[in-house]
Amino acid sequence: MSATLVLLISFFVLCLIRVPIAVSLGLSSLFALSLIDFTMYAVIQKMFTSVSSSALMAIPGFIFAGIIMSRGGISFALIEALKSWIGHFRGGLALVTISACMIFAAISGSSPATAAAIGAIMIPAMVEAGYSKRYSMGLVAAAGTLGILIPPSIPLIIYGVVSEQSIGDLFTAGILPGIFLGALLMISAIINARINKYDTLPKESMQERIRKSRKAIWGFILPILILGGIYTGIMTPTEASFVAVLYSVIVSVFVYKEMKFPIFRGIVKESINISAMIFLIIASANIFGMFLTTEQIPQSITQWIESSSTNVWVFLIAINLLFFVLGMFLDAVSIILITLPILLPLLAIFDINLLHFAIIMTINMELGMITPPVGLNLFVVSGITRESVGNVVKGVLPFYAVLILGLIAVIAFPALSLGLVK
Amino acid sequence: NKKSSEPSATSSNEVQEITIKLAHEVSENTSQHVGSLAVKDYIEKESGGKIKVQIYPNGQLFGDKDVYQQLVANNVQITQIDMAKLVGEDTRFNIPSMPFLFNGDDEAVKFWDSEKGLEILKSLDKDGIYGIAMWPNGQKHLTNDKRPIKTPEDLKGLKFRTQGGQVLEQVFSTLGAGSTSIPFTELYTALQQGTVDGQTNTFVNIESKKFDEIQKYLTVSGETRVDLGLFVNKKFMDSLNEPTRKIVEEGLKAGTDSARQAAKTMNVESRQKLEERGNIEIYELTTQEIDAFREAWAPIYDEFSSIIGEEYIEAAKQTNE
Amino acid sequence: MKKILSILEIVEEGIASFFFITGSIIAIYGVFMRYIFNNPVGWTTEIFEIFMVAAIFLGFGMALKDERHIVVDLVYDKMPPFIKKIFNIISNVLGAGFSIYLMFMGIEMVDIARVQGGVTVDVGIPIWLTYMIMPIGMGLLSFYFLVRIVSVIRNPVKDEEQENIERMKNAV
Ligand code: NA
Ligand code: NA
Repeated sequence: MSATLVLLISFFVLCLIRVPIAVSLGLSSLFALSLIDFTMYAVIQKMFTSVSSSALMAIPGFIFAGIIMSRGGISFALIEALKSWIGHFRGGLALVTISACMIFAAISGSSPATAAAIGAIMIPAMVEAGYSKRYSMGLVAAAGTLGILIPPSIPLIIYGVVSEQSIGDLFTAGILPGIFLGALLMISAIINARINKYDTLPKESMQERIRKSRKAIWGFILPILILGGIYTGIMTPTEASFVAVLYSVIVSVFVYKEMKFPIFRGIVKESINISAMIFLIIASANIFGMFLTTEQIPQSITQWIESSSTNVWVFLIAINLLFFVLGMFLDAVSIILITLPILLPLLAIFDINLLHFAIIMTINMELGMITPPVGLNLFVVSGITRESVGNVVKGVLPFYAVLILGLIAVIAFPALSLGLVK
Repeated sequence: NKKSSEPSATSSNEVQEITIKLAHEVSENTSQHVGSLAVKDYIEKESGGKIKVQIYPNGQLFGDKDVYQQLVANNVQITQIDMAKLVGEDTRFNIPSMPFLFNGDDEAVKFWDSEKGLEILKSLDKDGIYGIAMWPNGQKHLTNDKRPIKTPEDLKGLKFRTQGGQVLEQVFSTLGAGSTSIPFTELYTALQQGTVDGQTNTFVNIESKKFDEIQKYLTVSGETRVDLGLFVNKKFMDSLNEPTRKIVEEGLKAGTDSARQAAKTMNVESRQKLEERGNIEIYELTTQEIDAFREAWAPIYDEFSSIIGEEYIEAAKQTNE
Repeated sequence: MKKILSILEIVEEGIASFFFITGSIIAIYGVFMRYIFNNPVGWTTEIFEIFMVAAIFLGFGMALKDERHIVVDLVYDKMPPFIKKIFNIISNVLGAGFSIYLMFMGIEMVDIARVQGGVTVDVGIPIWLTYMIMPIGMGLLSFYFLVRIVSVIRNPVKDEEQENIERMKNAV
């Protein structure tokens, strides 16, 4: 236990004296690991292997594609066209952003990839249309988490394998709650737009709309290309991210003619920088998690909850709190792998449907992605906007309430998750 | 802070108080986990609780990518590794991937228990790892969602996923099929969306990973195998005194017996489950059909027998007699 | 010193960009070979991963130089300039210590892998070669932490107002 205290205290102190979060995570883990029986050189090996995952490589791919689109004229044309169609509605662009995240979530199994793909285009668009930057960032970070709820979903696949549930059924169970959470976010966006009375743009003529849409046609084709490419089985999401890169380069160079070599060079450098920032955090968070797992901390807490829960509601509240705390530091897949096997017997005793519980767990994992100190969606958004994580967190707070509301509704109404499952 | 896995010298006839970490990357409904539990039960019971065995399943601590170096570093003391992942350490670990080399589990076990088999398992001694025994997962069978596979020609033009490695790549390319390596987290979606047409795996893996939900045809081909090596850190083992070492060794034996038994029954059970669920059309190859495949794959033996070592291939073949 | 820094920057950026762009091209090539030519190539996934990981490890230092790594400003922002300076020195020393330590661990890992003599499963590249990026990446990261220590110590303590003015200038 003392080593765990060293871990947590040194982590917070390091963060507060402005050591980068990635280094704080890594350094505090090194301190803690040196207090237990651990051969230290293997730490760097763990960092290396946690970065070497082709599934994670969709993140740099979509970041790269997103920056090319925003600097190469594609985003500009796309935003102009979108504004001409819905700019005169209050909250219109926010709704577009949420829909875009939902559509993207339907092809990608990862939340940070979703936030990266949509954020690089839509945040600048929203800011230009008069939304506050903080709100725009929070919206993308929150709506991006739908990536793991709306199928396909990497965490749900892992859940299915560990719990012996049909992955197809789990995917089906995620559909309604995914749409439901998306709808809640949309309602909150409409209310927010009403309250803040965001400027609306003058309504544009049909002629003007068609002209702008024609110009933006190349941008509209991209999502079709990616969606189609993945759904028809031409490529995996990771590969799709790089095909999007190729497509964006071609369109920027030959159609919009805005891509010059120095600009491209800057884009590459920025993509590497943001990816490196995110992956150093992933690598360090993995050592942090490795320490906790070795010391059996999450396992012990889960067992304790299991042994002290007397009724189903106490259990559900305790388990949601546990997921919240673990979600602060660990990634979704680790949390499932560590806690689910221990929870399965109790879920049977309390007669909680495993598909229903999967959705509860996944929404908790979504919250984890926007909960500091380690929230990948926060970092992705902070990376593409160059805003501090603190500002992103402030932007996310209202959406936190929305997602928790959704979580409570999903817990209370199992029909939401089980309705479509036959 | 006493290093638990490097016990200090105690009186040499007393069982040492230690904690052993055992990590594996598969879920708890597998023969590997059954075997791991048997190791734990035996050792904890026989040592009167002095030795603790902590199991980390599901790759929650270390998985296929890092467990090797973590075992070398003694951050985990016991693990099982898929031999297909070890071909980069020693090409002889390609043996389970050689088509139709063994008739079944018993023959494979017989080979790996023989002098030649143990020689290969012990080849990792140089890195500080003891190879103890082979734990079978079983024969692999082809699944795909394009057409029932009955002849080698049926594979032509299909795209398969493999765990990687040159022999497995050749198994497909020889028959005009393509192969690509896709990580497990992306495999279910890749099969569902058709990025690859099929894969090959044991009944247990096909059933527990739900591939019958997204694949139409299963051919009971048993063309290649998944076999694991049970490995233990050498420094740890050598640090044990006589009575402690004996308990650990016996525990590993108990685990091996139980894992081997479980692999057999679980593959039978999984096949039954697949049949009951009825999502996937199961076709069992006849002896003649298997012979056609055997002939089609003969070139693989021409190419890889010398790389692996003729004497090992011969010794493996002899187990079938 | 300035000159060395700018040469390092060009070399480092060039190599990282090479890995990043070539990695991207390999991913696309894999799709084309599998789908258009129906002839999947076995080596693409492995090489793609190795290249992207190399770009990312080289990026650790670049990201530090460009102030990309995420920090918590909550307490720092409320501190007087003198304390800020102390925070800056300590945090960069710790950052340098962390990355230098990992650099040496990386060298040890390369050594171990060389003795082991393993190769990658698909292509057969020596493992130690792929491990080289660990000490190189961590070495570059530690270098930029050291550069920051020097510049923090050299620069006089600034008061808040001045700092804000400078920020504004940079923004313009
Ligand atoms: Na998704
Ligand atoms: Na978090």
